[in-house]
Amino acid sequence: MQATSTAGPITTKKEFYAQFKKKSIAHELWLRFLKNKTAVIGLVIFCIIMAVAIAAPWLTSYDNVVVKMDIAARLQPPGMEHWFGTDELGRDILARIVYGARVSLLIGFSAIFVSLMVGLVLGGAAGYYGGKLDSVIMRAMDVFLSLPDVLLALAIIAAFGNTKLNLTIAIGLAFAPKFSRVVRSAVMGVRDNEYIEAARSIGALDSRIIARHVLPNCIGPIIVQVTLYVANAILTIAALSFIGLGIQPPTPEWGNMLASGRTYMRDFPHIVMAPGLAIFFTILALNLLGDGLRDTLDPRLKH
Amino acid sequence: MGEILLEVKNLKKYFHVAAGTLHAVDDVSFTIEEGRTLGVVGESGCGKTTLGRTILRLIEPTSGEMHFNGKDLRKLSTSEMRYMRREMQIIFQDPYSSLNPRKTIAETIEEPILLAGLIPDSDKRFMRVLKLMDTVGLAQRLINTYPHELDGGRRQRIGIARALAMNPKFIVCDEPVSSLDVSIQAQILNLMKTIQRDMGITYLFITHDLSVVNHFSDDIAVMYLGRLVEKAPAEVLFQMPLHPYTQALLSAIPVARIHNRPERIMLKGELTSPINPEPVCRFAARCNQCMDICTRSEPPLIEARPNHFVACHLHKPMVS
Amino acid sequence: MDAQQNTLEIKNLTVEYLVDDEVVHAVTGVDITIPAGKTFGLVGETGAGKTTTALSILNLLPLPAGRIVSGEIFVNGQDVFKLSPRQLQAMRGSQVAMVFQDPMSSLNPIKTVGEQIAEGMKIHREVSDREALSQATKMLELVGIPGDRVAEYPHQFSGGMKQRVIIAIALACNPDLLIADEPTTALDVTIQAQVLKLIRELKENSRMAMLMITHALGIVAEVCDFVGIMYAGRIVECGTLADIFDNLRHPYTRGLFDSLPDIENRRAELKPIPGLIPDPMNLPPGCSFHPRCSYAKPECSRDLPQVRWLSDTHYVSCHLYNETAENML
Repeated sequence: MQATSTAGPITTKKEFYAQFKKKSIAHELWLRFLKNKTAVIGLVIFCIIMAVAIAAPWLTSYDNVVVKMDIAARLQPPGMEHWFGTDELGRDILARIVYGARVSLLIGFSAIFVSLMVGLVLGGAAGYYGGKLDSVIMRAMDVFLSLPDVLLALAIIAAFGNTKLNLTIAIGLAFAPKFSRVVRSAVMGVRDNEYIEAARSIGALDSRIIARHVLPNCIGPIIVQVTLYVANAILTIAALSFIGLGIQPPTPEWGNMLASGRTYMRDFPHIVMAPGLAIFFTILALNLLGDGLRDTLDPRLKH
Repeated sequence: MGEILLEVKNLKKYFHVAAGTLHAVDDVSFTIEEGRTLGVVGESGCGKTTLGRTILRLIEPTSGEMHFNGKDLRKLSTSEMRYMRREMQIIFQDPYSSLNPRKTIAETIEEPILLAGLIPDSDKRFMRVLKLMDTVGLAQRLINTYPHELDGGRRQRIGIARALAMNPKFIVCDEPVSSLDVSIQAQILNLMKTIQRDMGITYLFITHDLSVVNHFSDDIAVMYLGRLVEKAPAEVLFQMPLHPYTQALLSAIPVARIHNRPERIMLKGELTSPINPEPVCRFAARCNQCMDICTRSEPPLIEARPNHFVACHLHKPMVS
Repeated sequence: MDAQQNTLEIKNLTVEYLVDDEVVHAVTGVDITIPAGKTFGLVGETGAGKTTTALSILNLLPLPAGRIVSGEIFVNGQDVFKLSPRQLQAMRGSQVAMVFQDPMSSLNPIKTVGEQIAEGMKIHREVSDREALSQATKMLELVGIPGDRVAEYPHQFSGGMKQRVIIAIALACNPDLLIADEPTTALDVTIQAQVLKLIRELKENSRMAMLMITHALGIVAEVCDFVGIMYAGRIVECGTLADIFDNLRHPYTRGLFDSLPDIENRRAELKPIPGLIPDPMNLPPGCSFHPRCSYAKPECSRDLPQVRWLSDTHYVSCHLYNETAENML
């Protein structure tokens, strides 16, 4: 390492970079995102939900509040002691909603992470290489796409047992073909640019080209789909739990809360309103966020 | 100088399309001497772009040979070819799509050096990037800018710097100035000429712009529907074009003068299809000097005058 | 020339774009006059403001960004900016027609060319379907395409033929003014020659005025009667063909001609104009061209040059001619 001096000429890369800084693309995109009001609302709501979910153990106690039954206090409407009221077993609904968020978000994100990984590999290969590989991969994906998500997840759970891990994998696999499509079309959009050919002409291997030139330029559409598919995944989890196949009581999950509250819906609507609204706001936030990201990252609006 | 650097023999590139076989490059042969520029001109569908890429094996040829510096390029393995690419580079036409929007100028120019492993030391490598930027006329303060922040002329300079990074002997220039404004075109062309003089580079200069190619090339090859129809030194081609297509092409150039405007030779009709072409002269349908034999057989490329080749039934090989 | 004879009069047009809260001065103080039957060539490089000027004539600027700040435009004596949307719509296509650069995207792929030519006719004139079709066939023949191709779709035509179809569509209603924005730039040079010949023939056979936008002086020499050289949103020199080609005065005009490769003298080094086209959001003070001008004087960086008439037809906007009309280049 050369000793740097302010008097002499600049001779190291570091000094040059210090003097002529890189403009941050991310920063500019962030500023553009902020101009979109509905997107910011979505982000804010989502952050609140995330914060609440993460802080759950500090906000309330799992054993004492979430799962502890108190028949004497059952079916109480929202009030000072229980902000969202109590359910049919006397449990505080707000606390259950908060813990339910943890479950939904955790599984939702994990599942989509799995699909993303699978989608990147399959969709990336199909999009970049084209030809027979593309046909084979896409036909295989088409088979999976023709099955409804819930059914596919159902089949896997029925076959391998109902655990959180299986649920994550099941939903992950259900969304993988969708991601493959998204990645494939993003890659195909980038593949025909001359800078890809330029990378080949200077001697880059395919692996480098895909990793350094193709995928970084595909991030936009992929990120948008991630947010939208997470919303979808959460909905699927709720649906599965609702019909009794996802998260089992007493573990709180918005879907199974809806299911158990169904019988009391007419006289005690607060029991289903809370989880229903929780689902609604989460999905809404994610969708607003996703649309906002899509508008921000729209290449046509760039320069 | 005088050594043949590139020899192309009977190069063919055919594409299979739904309607049949598309003859993009059809039996093209020529040589280029070291340090000289061969201009390749032609209109849409003539195959010049495919030719450039096929020579570098960015597109694999269907048949034919390319000898670079004595080495048979088609016999090289993929990794040997990758190694060979250090000496054979390409400058692309579109300054907007030929640069990765997520890489800074310095990163784009550095990448070939990095990949070739030529300069392991990061600082020394960076100094080379700066020197390349200086060679192509890019200010040092631009090192960390992104392509979208710059205009077409500057972006094209980045493309040139990238092509020069590994000190190549041969550069395919695929319409390098066609997307640029007239005043910038002149700047870039002057730059490329200076580089050629200083570094002894051999160019294959592909363009549709005849006035530019005249200025920039030593020899010119004219292509039509995948075939090489005429090749001659630049002055000779412009003063004495032998092929009727070349004559029409030259007369079609818009001239920025209001007096002594040249007479135009107008071509009849449209381009015939490059798919499954008949073994006849492909220009016959539009030629104002078409003879009976032109519709029956394909004219071979012959040397009609010293160093002046033409593929046309109107001309006979010179008697030596 | 009395006003009735001028098909197009643009007076002191100034147009701005609002981009991310910054103002882009696209066009400033532009005057253009085109008498009936004449062709005006608007020459300039990218970003000079030519297309913006053309779009302003028919009030086709992209909203909400584009804004006409000041100026007047008269087509056949009518003030375009005072027309109601209905009147404007009636004018587009029938009195003023426009041909754009890219033939690929100007044609609707799912309609036959005959239908597209006829469409304009049916909007602006009372014609039966049969009559419109027969006229469409005639228009195709006028532009050199066999009439029996009237029922074919755009993808069945080559680039050059598509551009002819577009010209046919533009001419279908016999417009008084044709605006052609780089109509041949995307075409091969031999096809360009055919299309330019067509344009010349159409000119000779009608009283149609034309605004031809181009960056190529060679094309101007071929079809234009008048020439306006545009730089950074202003017309810096304007005159007849002879004024500009034989008697040019502005350093930028000189630079444009000099940077063209000379077919006669191929060995000479090209003389490009040094520097870059200025950023329209950040124009240099005074004369926008002064940073690149080899004749620049101190006042060039301070004051905007005034328009100086050198003859009845020829004017230039340059400080070199503040005192004299003699050639200072």
